[in-house]
Amino acid sequence: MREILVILKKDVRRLWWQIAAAAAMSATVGWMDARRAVAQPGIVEGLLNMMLPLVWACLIAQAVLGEPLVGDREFWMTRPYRWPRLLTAKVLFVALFVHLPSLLTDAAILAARGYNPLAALPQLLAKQLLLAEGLTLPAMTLAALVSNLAQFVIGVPVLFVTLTAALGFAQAFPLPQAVAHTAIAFLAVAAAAIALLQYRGRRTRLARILAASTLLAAGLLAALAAGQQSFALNLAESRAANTHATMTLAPPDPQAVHGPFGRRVFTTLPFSFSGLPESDEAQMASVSMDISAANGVRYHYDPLRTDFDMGAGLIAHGSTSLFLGLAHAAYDRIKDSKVTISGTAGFVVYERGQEVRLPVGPARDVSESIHCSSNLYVGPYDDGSLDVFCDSPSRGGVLADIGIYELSKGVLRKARPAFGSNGSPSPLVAWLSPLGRRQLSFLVPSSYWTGDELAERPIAIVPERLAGYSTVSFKAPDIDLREYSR
Amino acid sequence: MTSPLRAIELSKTFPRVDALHSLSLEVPEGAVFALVGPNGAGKTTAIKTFLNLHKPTSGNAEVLGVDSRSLGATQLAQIGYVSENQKLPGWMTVGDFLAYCKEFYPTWSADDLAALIRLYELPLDRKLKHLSRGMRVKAQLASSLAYRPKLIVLDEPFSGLDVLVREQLVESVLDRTPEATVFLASHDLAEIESFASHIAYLNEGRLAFAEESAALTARFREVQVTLDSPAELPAHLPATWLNPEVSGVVIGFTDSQFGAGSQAEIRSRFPAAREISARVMPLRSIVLALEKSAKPGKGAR
Repeated sequence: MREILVILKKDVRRLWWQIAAAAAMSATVGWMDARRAVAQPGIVEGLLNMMLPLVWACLIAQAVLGEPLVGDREFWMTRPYRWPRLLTAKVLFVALFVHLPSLLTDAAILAARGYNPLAALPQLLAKQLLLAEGLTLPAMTLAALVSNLAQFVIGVPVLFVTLTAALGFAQAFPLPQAVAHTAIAFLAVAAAAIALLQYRGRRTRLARILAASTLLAAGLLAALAAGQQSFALNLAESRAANTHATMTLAPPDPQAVHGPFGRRVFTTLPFSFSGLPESDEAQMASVSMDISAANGVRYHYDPLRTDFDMGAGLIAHGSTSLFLGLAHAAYDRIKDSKVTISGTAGFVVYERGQEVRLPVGPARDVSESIHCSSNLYVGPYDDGSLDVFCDSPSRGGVLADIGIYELSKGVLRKARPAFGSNGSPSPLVAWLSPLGRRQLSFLVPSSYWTGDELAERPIAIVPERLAGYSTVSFKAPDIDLREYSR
Repeated sequence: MTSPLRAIELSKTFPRVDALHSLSLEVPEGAVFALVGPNGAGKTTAIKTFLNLHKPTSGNAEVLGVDSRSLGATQLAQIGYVSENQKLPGWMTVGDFLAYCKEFYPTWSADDLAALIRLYELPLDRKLKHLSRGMRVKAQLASSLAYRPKLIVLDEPFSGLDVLVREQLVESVLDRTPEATVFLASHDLAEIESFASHIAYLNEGRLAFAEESAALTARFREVQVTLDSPAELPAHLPATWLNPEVSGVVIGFTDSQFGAGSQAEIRSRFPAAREISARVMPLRSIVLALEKSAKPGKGAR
């Protein structure tokens, strides 16, 4: 233990100002995050979110490079260091000066936003695990494979990709991206093994070959993850939704937008979706499809092989739609034949909770894990908007259906949201935030909003819970595609 | 008596370079063993292989009774290593560096360190990166002697230092013998001649010889045979007569196996010799003769 502390103390003495700078940055990010009541961060907060992981990565690299593992001229190599103690000292450094400040900052943000940090501890620790998988472990391993900081900086783009994957995974819409998570976890385990190998015996060449192979393998896994095409893996990782859904092709919808446009012929396939409990809601997560024409022509779609474009709509009121875009030549080859459309769709099921009505005004608790606030903006020409903002420390962000009621018309119905944001992984998003944020802006005539109505709790929030993931197969034979494309 | 450092058929090959070729040597306990040879001979590679900084390509090295590949903290705590090109933590002051090193050695002696600091006049508050080369070597040496290592390994430690500093450092190293064994590599023969008890000569990764200094100087002689009239070199001279040359009436060569019967042998080869002289050679001359004889077209006839 003494040796570990001696090495740690030495690293702290050497890197004290870098440690202080990283802590100051972390505190600044936390302060800005705690004050923010909009989904998107400002430019400074966004840049700090991007810079802080790089600062942490450089801090980790400098700590590891205090005793470089590459080369044969380093004084420590002929001193009686014990590798487990050296490695422990470095891990302790990372835990104390990267993970602990990050955890404390997150807890402070939650406390400032009215949440109990202890109640959210599992989520906070899960985020630290992701930070370890996406940043600290890869950074430690990379530093163990280079002889100086300049070489480390060359490898930083690799770190950037792993970090984006890991934290993006955490903040993306809560689809059970099992493959993505598997890729990140694989990368983290391999990184740890490579670092161990280096510390134990300084097998630099072997370690570098293993690292390159690992990156390649993780990249391949991530490519699969990008399309979330692995139903089996998704099902294996996530809770299976308790549902026996069916998807049946419905007659063409005359209101749907389809037909030739530009280089494509667009086809809308409306499906009726049944089998979900009344209280549940679902969203399409991944689809694979085959179109087999009677003349023998066959087209396939999955995220890795696309003979045509496809998009999926929301599953609402027992129906959903798949939008196909075929190149003119491809469409012409099958338009005169009957086709069979078959495939598999993966979907996420959400359990809807009790609706909560809120007045316009400052933050209120919707549930233990969702707080919402709202602001009314009245325009000069009977126009205006009502912005509803919610945040939540839950993994996956704000899981809620947000709407408003138009009371002055004497009817309760949801108004049309003008825009919404749930956050997405990009440099200008607060990917270090422990909170998921969602903001919707509803366009409303100013005359709707009298003082009485504001007090009438016009905002309706239905908290949701991720119930699980499921798949449904569909098959529609003898279809005349032209009927869905005109 | 056990050997604190031994190489058995030790080879080290880098891509395109055969750095060490079947090196076999044994360093006696308590010896001051000098590995000499020109630049690029493989001395540093040998040391780095002994200290597990390089893995041997084939063969074995044993350090303090342990295979060099398995050298661990227990053995390193008994080895003091100083190299001219070792990277030190330049941001540390000398005092911090010595205090830091102290924590790794159970046998560290504060009294010894204090004596070394006084002897070397080390500036404890100066950063290592701001030290002169001589001071840096002194700091390294102080950090490597304060725990009374059983084996002191020095790689070109004194090259480029002024005579006074060199003498001071040599003195402090020799003070540790015979309790400690000293193994040092150098290309500066004059530097080690006065104190090395054993000398090994390495050239292009191959060991030419390894023996006690006294035995080495005893068997080498610079021989001059003066004849009455100019003559040509006789054919088929002994292989142990290195670099034979004729200059007028004088024939000169280096006898690498000078002994009791050597005078008679010379006289039998040169019956018309007017005068025969056999002078003791300094180490530098011995090595020069060996190097010269190793070059193609030279050496023994």
